[in-house]
Amino acid sequence: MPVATAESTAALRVHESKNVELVAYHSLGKRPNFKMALQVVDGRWYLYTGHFWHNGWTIVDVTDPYRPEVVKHWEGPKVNTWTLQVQVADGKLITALEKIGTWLDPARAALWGFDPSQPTWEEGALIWDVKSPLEPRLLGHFHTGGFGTHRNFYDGGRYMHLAANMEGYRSNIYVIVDISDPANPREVSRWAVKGQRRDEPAEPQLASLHGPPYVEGDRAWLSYGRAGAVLLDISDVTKPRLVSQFSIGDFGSIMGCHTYLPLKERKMAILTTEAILEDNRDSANLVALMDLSDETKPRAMSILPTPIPSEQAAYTSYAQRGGKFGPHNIHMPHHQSCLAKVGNLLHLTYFAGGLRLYDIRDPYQPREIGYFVPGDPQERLARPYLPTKLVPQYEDILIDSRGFIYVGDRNYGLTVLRYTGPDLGG
Amino acid sequence: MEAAADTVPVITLTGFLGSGKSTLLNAVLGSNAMPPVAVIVNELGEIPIDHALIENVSEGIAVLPSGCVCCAVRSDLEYTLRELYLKRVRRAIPDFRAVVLETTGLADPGPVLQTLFSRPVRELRYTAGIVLTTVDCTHAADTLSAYPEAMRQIAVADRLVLTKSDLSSPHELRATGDWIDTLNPAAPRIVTTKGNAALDELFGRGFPDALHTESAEMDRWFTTAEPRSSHANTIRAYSYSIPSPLEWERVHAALKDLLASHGEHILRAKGLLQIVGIDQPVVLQAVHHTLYPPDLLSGWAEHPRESRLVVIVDGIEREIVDRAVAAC
Repeated sequence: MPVATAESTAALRVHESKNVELVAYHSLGKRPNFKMALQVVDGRWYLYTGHFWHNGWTIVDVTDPYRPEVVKHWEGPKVNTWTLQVQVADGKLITALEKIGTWLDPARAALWGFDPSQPTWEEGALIWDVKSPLEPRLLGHFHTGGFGTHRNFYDGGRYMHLAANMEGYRSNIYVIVDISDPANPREVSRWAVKGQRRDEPAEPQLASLHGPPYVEGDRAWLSYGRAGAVLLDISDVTKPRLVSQFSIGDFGSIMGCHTYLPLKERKMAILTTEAILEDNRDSANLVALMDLSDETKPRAMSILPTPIPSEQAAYTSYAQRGGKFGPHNIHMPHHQSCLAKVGNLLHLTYFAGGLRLYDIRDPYQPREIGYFVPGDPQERLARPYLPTKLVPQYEDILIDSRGFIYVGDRNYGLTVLRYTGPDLGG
Repeated sequence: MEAAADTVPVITLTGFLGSGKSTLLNAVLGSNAMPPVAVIVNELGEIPIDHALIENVSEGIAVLPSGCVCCAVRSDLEYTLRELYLKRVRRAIPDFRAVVLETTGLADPGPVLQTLFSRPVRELRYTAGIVLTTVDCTHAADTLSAYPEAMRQIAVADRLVLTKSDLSSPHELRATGDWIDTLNPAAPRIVTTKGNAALDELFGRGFPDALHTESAEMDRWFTTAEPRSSHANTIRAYSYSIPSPLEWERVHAALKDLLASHGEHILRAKGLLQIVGIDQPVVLQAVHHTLYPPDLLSGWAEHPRESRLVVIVDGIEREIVDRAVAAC
């Protein structure tokens, strides 16, 4: 039985769209969704999601994407713990646990639900068996000894690849964990940049691995914050070895490099930063198409053009309408056959700019080819303090292999979209 | 690239007017061994199904007692396949394991294949399955002389179903065989009377599961008999065997160039390729100007691994295709 029935797409007003069609909208019981993952079992498509402001995880049956149904919600550790991130592969669900508001000042952390009177939190990564898709069974818990983990990578098999704050470190580092015995997850190796260990002098700018550490063959692609985009050779998983590092200097928010996704067949990668401050107070954020034909010398070929409102819009500048405006997430396939591959069409969430679609056939001249921007949310969900002004804030994205696009926002539930533009191939 | 999971093959059943498509379809749907399939026809009334046996018809979709689903093409093929997909996942119709698409007798199969290989259709978990072409042995020679569509239907077929053989004279049978030797010597020929044919022969062993997974099955495409030019037509099938593994970048570039320059003359190309760095066989398909995203098969058959490529053309010289293959 569905926990919550599908809602009318009328709940979501379309403000601007080109080559993108609204398929469905579901508020998920007024719990905005964040990181999403998908598995197909017996012909049914299950979307697993963490939540932006709420504890726990939700499973949405999206077999019929025009009628998504919430089929399960369950709670995670509650005290001072974020449960934002999920990944599913090989019948296993990996959920991140992280201290709420690690990087925020205490007043802001309190708005996210941090209770300073209880100086504890849960941290690490939980490993669940989801072969019975609606009955997650906890198999094990990897502890970091630090603040926990953020965006992790798992594509099945023996190893999960974490962006983890281990004991003794100032920020998140890369940790490979063997989960062949999921009840006893075991660290295989770790890799950090200079200045992350608490027993060494801090660097002027603290770097932190945002993740996921995206693994392609024997390489790990690390979005390493202020340390830029890092490529490691992990052919020996016990000894990760640096192949190359691409600095983005003072571009981007305090976050630095947020995503580093390889497009292996094209010997390319996509590098993104994430807008952090509202009203464009960050140093300019960017998304770059990278040439990795020589993996030891990564080189930016182009930067995606900044979105400009169309004539349909009631405003002339996204940057001036409030909230954050800048890149955040791209779709990451995690080598799952139920997820879309990244071809010549790049989908990017852009906070107040909604969803932006780029034709990247010519990596030197990427062009915007479509977009979807909803109207302003009609209410604040839970207790968010952001955006200060209530405008769309598109956060995360996942695309299934049927072409249906799932999007999360700070004040909207699950939005399902579909690209209707020309076939770009690839 | 990875092997497609959970996909539904779409089999194209083509053949000229009166060549026995509907008779074959009806016989197949009546077989106890037939797994549940969805059948797409141009008009529901065209298919001579006993209407008393149809359990219900709603929104143009009929459900047969066997659990098979029949519908007519609505709006266009892509729309129809999307509707079938959504009705299936909504459980409004019984599940189906394959789709059989019956084309009109005058259809050029090229555009149909282009739709089946297109991104929107592949995204809905459909894969292009085999092309079955019915050939009426009593009229083949006359029809083929007069209608280029009929020649193309035979040229692009993966299998040929020879119908009405019991009604044909030895001369007619020989004439039909001659035409097929010219147009498509490689495709297996299945002789039927009144639509009776074993499902294994028509669709392959293990249908529908094995359709895209067995390289032994794929091998049937590539018997290397060269066409005999006993008829004045411009359709030719050129086949190639390449023993050493190929570089994907070179194959891709060479075939793209060939299709860009001569696509209007290329009815179909299909390849089973051994690519450096990839353990499994890579399946390539092209129709006219478009090379479609490759698929992976689960593994090689027993025989020595080698790449096979068949290019079916209308009106270009062998040397042009030879040069493209040499550049792979």
